[in-house]
Amino acid sequence: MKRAVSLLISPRLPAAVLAVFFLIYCVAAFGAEEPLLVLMKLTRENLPLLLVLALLPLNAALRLLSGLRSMGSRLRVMRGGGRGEIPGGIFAEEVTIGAGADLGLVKERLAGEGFAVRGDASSLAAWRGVPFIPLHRLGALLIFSGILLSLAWRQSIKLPAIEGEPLAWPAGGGALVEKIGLQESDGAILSRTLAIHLRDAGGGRTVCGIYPPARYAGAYVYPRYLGIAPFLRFKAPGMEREMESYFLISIYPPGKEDFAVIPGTPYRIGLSIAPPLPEEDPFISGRMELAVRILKGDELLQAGTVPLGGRLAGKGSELSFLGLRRYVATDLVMDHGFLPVWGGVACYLLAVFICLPLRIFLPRVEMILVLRDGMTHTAFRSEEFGTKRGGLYHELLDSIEKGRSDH
Amino acid sequence: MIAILKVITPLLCWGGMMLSLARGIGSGPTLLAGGCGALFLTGSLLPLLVPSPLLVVAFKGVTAAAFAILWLASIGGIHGAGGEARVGHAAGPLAGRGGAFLASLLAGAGVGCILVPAGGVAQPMALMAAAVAGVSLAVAGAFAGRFLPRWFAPSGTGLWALILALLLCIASSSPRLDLFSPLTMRVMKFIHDFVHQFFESMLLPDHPFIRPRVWEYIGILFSSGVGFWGGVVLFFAPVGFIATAIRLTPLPSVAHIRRGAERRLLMASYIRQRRHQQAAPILAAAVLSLAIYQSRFPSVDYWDPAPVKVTADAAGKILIPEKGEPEIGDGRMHKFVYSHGGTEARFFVLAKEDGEYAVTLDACSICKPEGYGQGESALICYYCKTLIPLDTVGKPGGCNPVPLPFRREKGGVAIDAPLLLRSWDETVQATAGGGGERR
Repeated sequence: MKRAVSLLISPRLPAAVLAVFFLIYCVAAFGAEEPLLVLMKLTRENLPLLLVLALLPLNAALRLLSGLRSMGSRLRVMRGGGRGEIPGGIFAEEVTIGAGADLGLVKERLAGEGFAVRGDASSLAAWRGVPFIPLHRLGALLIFSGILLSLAWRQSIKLPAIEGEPLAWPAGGGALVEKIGLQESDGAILSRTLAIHLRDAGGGRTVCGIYPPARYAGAYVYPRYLGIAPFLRFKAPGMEREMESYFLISIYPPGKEDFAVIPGTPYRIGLSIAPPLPEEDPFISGRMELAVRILKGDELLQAGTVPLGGRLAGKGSELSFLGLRRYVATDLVMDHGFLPVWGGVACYLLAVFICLPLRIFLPRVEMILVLRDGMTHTAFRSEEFGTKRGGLYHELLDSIEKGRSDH
Repeated sequence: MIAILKVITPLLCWGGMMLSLARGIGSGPTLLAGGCGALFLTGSLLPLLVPSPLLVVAFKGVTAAAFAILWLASIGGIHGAGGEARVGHAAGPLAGRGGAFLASLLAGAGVGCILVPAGGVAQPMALMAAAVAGVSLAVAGAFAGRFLPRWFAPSGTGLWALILALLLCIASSSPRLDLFSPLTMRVMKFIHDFVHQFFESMLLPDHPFIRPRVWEYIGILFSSGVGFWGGVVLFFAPVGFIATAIRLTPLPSVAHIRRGAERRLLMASYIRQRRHQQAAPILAAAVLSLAIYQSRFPSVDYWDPAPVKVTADAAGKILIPEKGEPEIGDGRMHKFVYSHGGTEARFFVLAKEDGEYAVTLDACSICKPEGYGQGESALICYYCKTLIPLDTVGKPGGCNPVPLPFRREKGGVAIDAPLLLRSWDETVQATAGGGGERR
């Protein structure tokens, strides 16, 4: 059991696990077009691989717990002024000198070096600096847990959010998309802000933006791209009745052409948004003209531009541009790994910008001296990157030893 | 004669391999010259027996596997560097000879593959000439090894790093055998996929919402520079690890010697020997630099015609006639450009060996749209230097040019102009504008 725990807590375990996945990636890279997707799929569908991946958060959790436990033990010992039993292995160095030290002198010396000192005639605890909090381990735990959760249980469905239509789950139901608003923004990263206004059956309202993603029916709403669905009425020779519908086609931003295919007929309508006025976005303003080509098979029947509310007629066909609906192609994503990963990233940022400077400029140094049976038992630990305070500890030991030889 | 000129650098590399092996493994020159020469001869004549494409795949596969093993060995070397004190580390005679013979076979096969024109037939005379030259170099190298400076005695992973570097240099003499370009491509692909998956997983917004300036910064990750430098790091890392491991290995103890001058002399000789051990990885690094140079600047001329302007009819159809100027059925790539609404879409038509046409964008969905040139049996992507075999043109994926739907009609090839523009726009324009690739 102990051996298994020491294996699970080993700092070499993450390297070994990552090497396994790297190897699989290399093999996939020579045999597949999308090796990363292959690796993800393989991991998702393969329980042993998921278990191997789970070793990463487990290792991070065990190392975090172990670090916190030692930190707690050390803080208890320091608070108690070095009295009582000192658990083994929580200090980096433990030295016993066969002579009693003058703790009063030691206390004076350490106080002069800026240490906080606590103790009595038989024991002394001294410390300075701020204990290093292993936020990076918490970060690793959260990130690897997030990746594991996301890989194993992420679900995603594509749904267009169309003005005036419900944002419906495949099973049915769903809130009505009342309005979609887009605005230019002067943000540092985002150039636009988006607001998808939803109203559920009970009258409750939700507004979904771009980032952070809003939640709807337990899933994150992930806007992918914007679209404009023109609402058209069309009739042409050979059609039993005129057709009136809006078409979810890819014509936004202006310049892209897509075809509205009239089902059951040889007709298709090539549509694109005519170049708008400078600085005007038709998605925001709702003003646009459509450039239209009406085709019967490959034969061009009619071409021209149609303003909103206008019509284009000729050779028996007639097209009316009655209105438009904005839509946003969205993914509804259920992913329990999303928050842990961002939490992990935040932990790493805090570790880099707070914990690391503290460790560099205010490193924790701890010392214990206990007089027992005519001997001085000492323990020392330093979190500094250099060895300055370690030198101080050894100087203290030298002076105690010298006191013994002088004596 | 011209064919022989193509293998001068590979033959020089082979000579270098023989010199290194002569100094690095403990076999006598006769055995070394006989064994290595015979296996080089066998390897260089293999194209007469084995189809060239199969041989190329085998050569690249074995060399890549050997490189992966060197990677692992170099990491192992770093890991064990603090352990046992030693100066130099020779492979056992059996392993040494085995490695030398395998390297000779590979070197011969590499030279043989270079001499076979892509899609063509092996010329026995050229192969025989290269084989004779190779055997002569094997004999000369095995016996000339003794005249090299005594301090040059590559051993252990340092020796094999040098041998493998020379093999990689042979490989990079031909775009078909080159391993560096595919490596950079895979590095680029990994970074691309990773960034894409990160955006997907963290639900980060895409082009319609992100400021173009931010995309420009993200685009740096997709540039060929990142792929190139990533490939350079992967190429040089084992050599760096080996040099570091040699430097970190503790020297043997001299504490048992009580005379100070003798102790210092012995210590100085150990330090000198350790420095000399660095010669192999340093030479390997120099040879790898040459391999990368050859890979980046191959001495091959590619067919790259200027794009011909085309227009669409009122129904949006572009018709490229089969006969006329250019004649698209001649087996060469013919480029065209269609302009509409400020967008210029480049595409090309290629008649393949089976008589079928392939119509594709002059761009792939991974790289910046710098286009393709046509070599003997492959297209080359100018951006990432990846070779696309001609028979796979028209198929999607990887660095293949993006295929376009087309119809054969009225003695020509018909393409839908809006579809072409949309395909160009969706696949390429973000790449060109953002300083990198679209996600």
